Formats: sequence, structure tokens, C-alpha cells
Amino acid sequence: MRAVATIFWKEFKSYFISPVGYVVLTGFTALSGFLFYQFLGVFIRVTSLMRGLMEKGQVVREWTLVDDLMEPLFKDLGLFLIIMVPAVTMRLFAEEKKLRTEELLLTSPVRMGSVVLGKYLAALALLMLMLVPAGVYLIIVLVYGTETDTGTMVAGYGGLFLIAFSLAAIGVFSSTLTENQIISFFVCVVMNLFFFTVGLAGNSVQTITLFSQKINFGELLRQLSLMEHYNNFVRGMINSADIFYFMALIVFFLFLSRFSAERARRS
Amino acid sequence: MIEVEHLTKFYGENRGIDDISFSIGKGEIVGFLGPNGSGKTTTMRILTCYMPQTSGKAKVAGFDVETHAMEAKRKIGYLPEHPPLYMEMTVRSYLGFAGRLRGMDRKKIKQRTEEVVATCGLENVASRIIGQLSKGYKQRVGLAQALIHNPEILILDEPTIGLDPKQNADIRALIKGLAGNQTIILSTHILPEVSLTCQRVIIIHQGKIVADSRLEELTKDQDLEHAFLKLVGFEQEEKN
Repeated sequence: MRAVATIFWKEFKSYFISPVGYVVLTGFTALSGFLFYQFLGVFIRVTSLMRGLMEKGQVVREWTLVDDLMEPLFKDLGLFLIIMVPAVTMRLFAEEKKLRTEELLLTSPVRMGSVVLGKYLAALALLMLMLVPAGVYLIIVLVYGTETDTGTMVAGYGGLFLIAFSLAAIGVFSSTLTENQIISFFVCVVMNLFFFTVGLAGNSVQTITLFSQKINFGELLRQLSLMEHYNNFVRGMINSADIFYFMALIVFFLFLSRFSAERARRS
Repeated sequence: MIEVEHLTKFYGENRGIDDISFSIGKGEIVGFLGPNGSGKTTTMRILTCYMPQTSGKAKVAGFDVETHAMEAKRKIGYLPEHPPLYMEMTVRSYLGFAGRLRGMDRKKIKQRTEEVVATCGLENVASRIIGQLSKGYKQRVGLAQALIHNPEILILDEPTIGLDPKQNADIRALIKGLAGNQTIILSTHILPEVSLTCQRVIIIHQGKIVADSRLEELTKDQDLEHAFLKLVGFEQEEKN
């Protein structure tokens, strides 16, 4: 545990010694603020024209702040994370390899598991710092909006954290693969995109038969997708299955990272 | 303190070291000598548990490096060929980090940091960022890192490479100053260095030990350079 704390503090501090921490924090806040401003502007314009979705002169569904402002906002912020998270995680192991400082870690009496965990937690801490200001949009809508569903919005906001935590685990893993931070960044982006979009393929895949068992392959792909589980949160549904999915993804990639980082000494 | 038996390491098809055996007693300073690529670094990396051997056994302070790596690592201070320095840290915070990695407590770290800063002559630069230091100072910070937990065994991989003669002499004096308390293995391909610091020499060539004796014996009827060249098979080439 001490080793985890040692690695955590070293990594967390180095985010703020190098420009990475500041760039990520201001970058995300500026982008998300701009997005919120745009979405809110469009929402106000649309609602001033008509109160809801019209069909044959009748309002069939009213526009609401939760469904038509916060839900698309959270979805887009989730997409932002596809590139923000790798920017945070890309250096964690790649830099150690490049500067050959991993020789210090590998010859010190610490377990690789502790190193991976310490680095992962440092990335989480920075990501939390990055996401906390986004809570302001939630507060603005709650304070100034009417007929808002607090629970749904908080679930969506919480989902955003879970997405960030999952992508960070993928990012730590891709950082162990190479000594080049740019490659680490892009490998992570590609893996993130895969986990976001794999569910979309589910709609066009039929049931397949494997070992005379009928398997709903489309459903399988959808269940594998981050987006599918995240959307449940955004819609305000918190299932233990979704939480389990995120946890499993994190644990899986952290184990993979440990394995991959250990392999470095065997080459 | 260090026992190595039939140690062999393959890199894929290539042989890094081939069936080497030696043992080093407490307080000895041993020079590890050999041309580039002869297997010096490989041997040191196995002893420091950086990578596992293909076959054979190695024990450090009584602990097998394969089965009791954690205990063995605690006993060793290691300066790799390329000092593992975090360029954005200050010298003091880096030494603190290295100390915490070795499981030292806060008080001990504070005390030892001041001690190694003094031993390695880092007083003037202790609060500076490592990335801004000269090569000689960086090397000394690397050495300070290896000393911070007062290890019983010190493994130094080419500690004086790329230093100017003055810095070179400083580091040599430093290593000599440590003699007696610590068991030291240092690798080099700079011959005068060995004769100035070491009591015993192990010469390794193409992954095999070609000589292991006290310095006086090796240099009894010829100087070290000729003895070395003869052992690594360069003599004939010289004559031609």
C-alpha cells in the first residue's frame, strides 16, 4: 500500500510539473463549457418556437432539459473523453521506458501490481479534477431550470466518471505497450473507439449458431460496448449489471497492464 | 554475499552469458571487466532481479534472485549504465522517492538524504531540477540513489562512463571511501580505473569468465592492459 501511495504522489505531482495537467484541465473545461453554451442556446431557441415534437399540429412529446439538453451533452462529453483520457495516460509507462527509469522501479522492492495501481490512481485523480468543474452545468440547470429530474442528471454525471475510469485503465495498458507516447496515445484512442462503437455493429448482426447453440451475437456485441452501458446511466437507469461491466473492464485492463509491464524485463 | 552458479542467459537464439560461476565475499570490491557486449550488464541485471536468467542460480545476501526477489532487492543498491533519473524532479525529492520505493520511513529518508548528498558532493545542487544538471552531477545523483538505503551490496554499471577526468577521480574516490562497509561490484572497460579501485578482477568475454583473480596476481608479470588483451584474444590481431 505504501508503494502505491509513493507512485501515486510522484505521478500526480508530475502532472503539474509538466504542462500536461494544466492543458488537460483547461482544455476539457473550455471545450465542455463551449458545448454547454451552444446546446443551451439551441435549446432556448427551439423551445421558444415550439414546446415539443409536433405531429399533425399536436405536441406529442415536450422538450425537456433532461432529455434534450443534458442527455446529448453527457453523450458528447463522453466522446470527448476518447481523446482526453489518452492524453492523461499516454506517458505513464511509455516515458519510464523511454528514459529508462523503469530500471529503478523494476529493481526496487515493489510489486508491479502496486506500480500499475499507483499510476492508475494518479490518472484517476487528475480525471476527477477535470470532470468536477463540469458539475457546474448540472447545477446551472438544477437552479434555473424547471421540471428537472435530479436523479437522471446525477446518474448521467456519474456515468461520465465511470467512462473516464474505464478508458483510463485502457490507457494505462496501451502505455505499457510502447516507449513512444504518440503511439501510446493513438493505440488508446483506437481501443476507446472500438469499445464505444462495437455495439453499433450489433444491429446488423444476426443470431449465429455455434456448437449447435444459438447465440445472439448482436446482443453480445451490444453488451460489450461502453456506449450501451453509458447510455443507461445517461437515461437515469443505474443497473448493477452496468456497474459490474465497468468494474470488470477496469480490472481486466489493469491486470493486462501488470502483465505487459512485467514482460518488459523478460525481453 | 554474492553467489553465482552456472548462470546462463539467452536472448532468443543469442547467448548473453554462458554458464558463469563466481562468488564474492563481504566487503570485497570487484571489478567486472570486459569488452562491450561481453555480458557484464546482463550479469548485473540478473543479480539486481531486473530480468530472470535462463538457467543456473544466483544468490544475493543469501536470497535467491528468482524465488526471493523482494528480499534480495532490499539488499542491493544499483546504478544502471544509464542512470534512472526523473528529469523533472529536484535532487532531494528524487532521493526521497527512491528511499520510499525501498520502504524507508520519513525520518530515515531525511537523515539518509543529507548523508548521501554529502557523500556524493551534491550540496550545491540538492534543490535543483535534475534535468538541468551536468552529466557528472547526474551520474552522482544516480549513485546517491543507489546508496540511499545503505545497501549491503552495491552494483555499479559503468559508473564513470562519459565523465571528465576530474569527475572520474571524484567518483573513484567516492567508491574507495565506501570500501569496507559495502560489497561492491563495478563494471567498466576502462582499465586504469580497475587498478585504482578494485582488489579483485573478473574478466568476462563473449559471455564466459576468462579470468577471476586478485589484481596483484593478474598484473604480476605484465600490466593489466596486456593481461586483459591476452585474455580476450586481441593479442594476435595486434601482432598482425
